[in-house]
Order: sequence, then structure tokens, then C-alpha cells
Amino acid sequence: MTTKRGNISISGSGKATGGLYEAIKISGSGRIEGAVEAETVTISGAGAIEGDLKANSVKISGSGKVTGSADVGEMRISGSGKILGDVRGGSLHVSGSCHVQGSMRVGELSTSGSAQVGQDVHAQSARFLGFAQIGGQVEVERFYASGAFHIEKLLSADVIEVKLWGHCYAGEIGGGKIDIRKGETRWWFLRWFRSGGALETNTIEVDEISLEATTAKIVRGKRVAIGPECHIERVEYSESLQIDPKSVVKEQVKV
Amino acid sequence: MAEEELISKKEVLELTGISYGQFYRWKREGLIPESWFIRKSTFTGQETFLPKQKILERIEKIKALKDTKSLEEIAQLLSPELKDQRFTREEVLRLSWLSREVLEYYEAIRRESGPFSFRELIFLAVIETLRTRKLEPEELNLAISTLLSSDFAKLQAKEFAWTLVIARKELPGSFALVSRKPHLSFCLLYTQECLFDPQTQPVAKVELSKILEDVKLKLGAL
Repeated sequence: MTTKRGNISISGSGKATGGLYEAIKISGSGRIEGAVEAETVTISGAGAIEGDLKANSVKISGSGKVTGSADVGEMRISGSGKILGDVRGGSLHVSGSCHVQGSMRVGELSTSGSAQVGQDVHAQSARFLGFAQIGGQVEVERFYASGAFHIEKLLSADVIEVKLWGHCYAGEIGGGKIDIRKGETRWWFLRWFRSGGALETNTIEVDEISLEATTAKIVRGKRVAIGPECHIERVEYSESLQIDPKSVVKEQVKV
Repeated sequence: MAEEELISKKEVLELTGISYGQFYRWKREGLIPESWFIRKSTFTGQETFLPKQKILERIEKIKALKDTKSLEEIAQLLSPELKDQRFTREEVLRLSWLSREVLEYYEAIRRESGPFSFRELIFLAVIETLRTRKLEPEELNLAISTLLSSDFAKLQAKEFAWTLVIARKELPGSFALVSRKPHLSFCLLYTQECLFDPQTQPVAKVELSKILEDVKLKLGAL
């Protein structure tokens, strides 16, 4: 390749047209009109890309908006990020808030703060700290959440680990192993304020199950351990079942 | 046509002996298509059902392949994507499922020469399948002309949900007097469901997606 790409640098306030670039840097307030492809995109301040974004590395500190879809090698958002289309790529790290209206297909996803995805999430690993709201299903290999989440449809993962800090909901849950624990702070005086963590779901179909503070209609698995504060309509297990006396299981069947 | 027999997800696991972990992993990898999942309310609440024959066949296939291939490779084999690959005449002749007569027949009507596309292999596989059904020669020709029509050539991979059916409609008495045959044959392609009047009998039915999958699997096994 002999074509040399140019750079865009906006400091203060300005706008530029989309196209093929090496580096795009916005500090202050800037707008790129049209689809853009670049090696690196750095936004500090407020930046908007009106169109699709394709880049190897994207860093947003402050506020960033993409009106199209984002195809990225690595994307880091600290502050707030909004993508109206889909996000696909290697990794997405968010601290602050992130709102993706479309779907997400990434290798590694980690958020702390608030994350909102309109449609499905596919990832190798997903880690949510804080609040997460997903309008579709979540299909990942490893799922870790500490906080509160709302997953409209299915949560499917090989390993699911959750620390409940607020109201958590998933339409259905399926996978290899699940461990749901109430979040506990190390400071006893805080426990008095924060004890509302609970999970609600229709069905849990997982081989190895360990639950706390969970309300479900059906729980199916090989080895099932129902810890305290659970309310389960029906448990179907094939190998073992333990039920904490502080829990209610209406019906239990060995299959 | 009769509704597909359904099976609950729970029964699938019991019958096949796979674990929930495996089932959901395979679904994540796209080995079990999203469109197969049918949600229904039962006395225990919501239950998920799947088309019985399709899911059981699919799980057997995955089980048979999983020791030698990665899940990604299996997903490739099972996905309805058309391959870009081209095949020489020698390679096509080596395919054990294809008879020489069908290939030679096709070469005679083929408009181009040179290596065969994957789409053409599917075409050959459909003809080969139809040949084993008890069809009249005209009916086979009907199917071939349907498949060769430009509309079919334009079908994209995801549209391979088509089913090809050859049906015979019995002609009422007066027509039968003038026609040499007591029925009229026709060929059609449909995607979801197809209903016939009582005088019409489907004589051969081929699901294109299944042929596509078979051809891929057999190529993959080479």
C-alpha cells in the first residue's frame, strides 16, 4: 500500500467529513460527517460521528456518539458513549455509561457503571459491574455480574457468576454452571442499607446450580443447591438436591 | 401438510443424553438454529419445543462430528452459507452420492463449461434425490426446469429454507377423457407450509436446506 492516509485533528470546535484516515483526534467539540475508517480515534470532550465507524482503536473520554454501527478492534469509553447501530469487534470496556441501540458481538465486554444494549449481546466473556439492561438475549462463554441487571430474554453461558446488589431479572437462564450469591459488604453497618439483592427468572436449566435469593418457576439441573431466600415452584434434578430451610420449594422431582 | 411433530427441550436432553451445558453451548455456536425454538405455554408455564426429527438428527450429527472437529468447524458445515469453492469434473465424479448419469445429463443441458459451483452441486444433489422417488419422467423435467429457472438461481443462502414439492392433481372425469393421464402434475417451491386440496397428492418433497447441509457434510468428510 502506497496510499498515505491523512489525519484529522479538531481542537476547540469543528467538523470534518468522513473517509479514510490514519488518526482522528477530537478535543473539545467535534463532528465527523459521514462514515469514517481510521486506525485510531480519540475523543476527549464531545465528539460525534455521523455514520458508521470502523477503527482499530477507539478511546472516548467525555462523551462520544456514533449514529451508525461501530466495528472496532478495541474500544474504551470512560464517560459516556452512545452507539445507535451495532457494535462488533475485539473488546469493549466501559466505565461510566454506554448505550448501544443495536446488538453487540465482541470478544471481551466489561462495563462498570451503566450499560444498555437494545438487542442481543454475544461475547466470549461479559463482565458487568453496576447496572446493565439488555433488550435481547445474552450469549457468552463466561458471565459475571455484580450489581443489578435486566436481561429481557435468555441468558446463556458456560459459567454464570452473579453477586446480587439489586433487582436482577433474566427471562430464562441456561448453561453449564451457575452461582448466584447475595452481595455482601464487608462493613456490617452498610448491610442494613443494602440487602435488597434478588434474582427473578422463569426457568433455570443449568447442570451445576447453586442459588441464593432467587425466585424461579422451574429449576432443572444435575446437581442443585438451593441456598437461603429462594422461592422455587418446581425443581427437577438428576443427581442431587439440597434445600436451605429458609427457602421454599413447592415441588421437587428426581428425573 | 401435516404439522411437524414437536418435542420439548427436556425430552431432547433425556433422549440424547447431552447436558444442559452442551445444549446451550451448541446453541450459542449456532449449531442449533434460533428459528427451531418454539415457545408454548403448558401447565408448568412456558416451555420450549423443537421440531423433533430435525433436532434429534442435528444432535446425532454434532455428536458424530465433535470428536474430530471443533464446534466452529461444525458450525461452518451446518450453516446455510453457500461456499464459493469450485469443483472440477474429476472432483465431482469422485462424490460417491452422485451418479454418473445425473452428471452427464446435467452437462448436456448446462450453459457454461468449466468447474462446478457449490450451487450446482446442490442442484445435482436435488436431482439425485428426486431420481430415487417414483416419478414420471415429465415430473422430473418439471422439477429440473423449476430449479434451472432464473428465480431459483438468484436464491440467496438464507433463502434455502425452501421446500420443493411435486404434486399430482386428479382430473375430474371429463378432463380425464381428453387427457392421456388421469392427473395433472406440477412442481412448486414453498417456504413454510403448503396446503393442497384433497384431490392433490404430493408425490415427492425435498427440503433444500437439508440437501445443502448433506452436501456440505459430505464435502467436509472428504
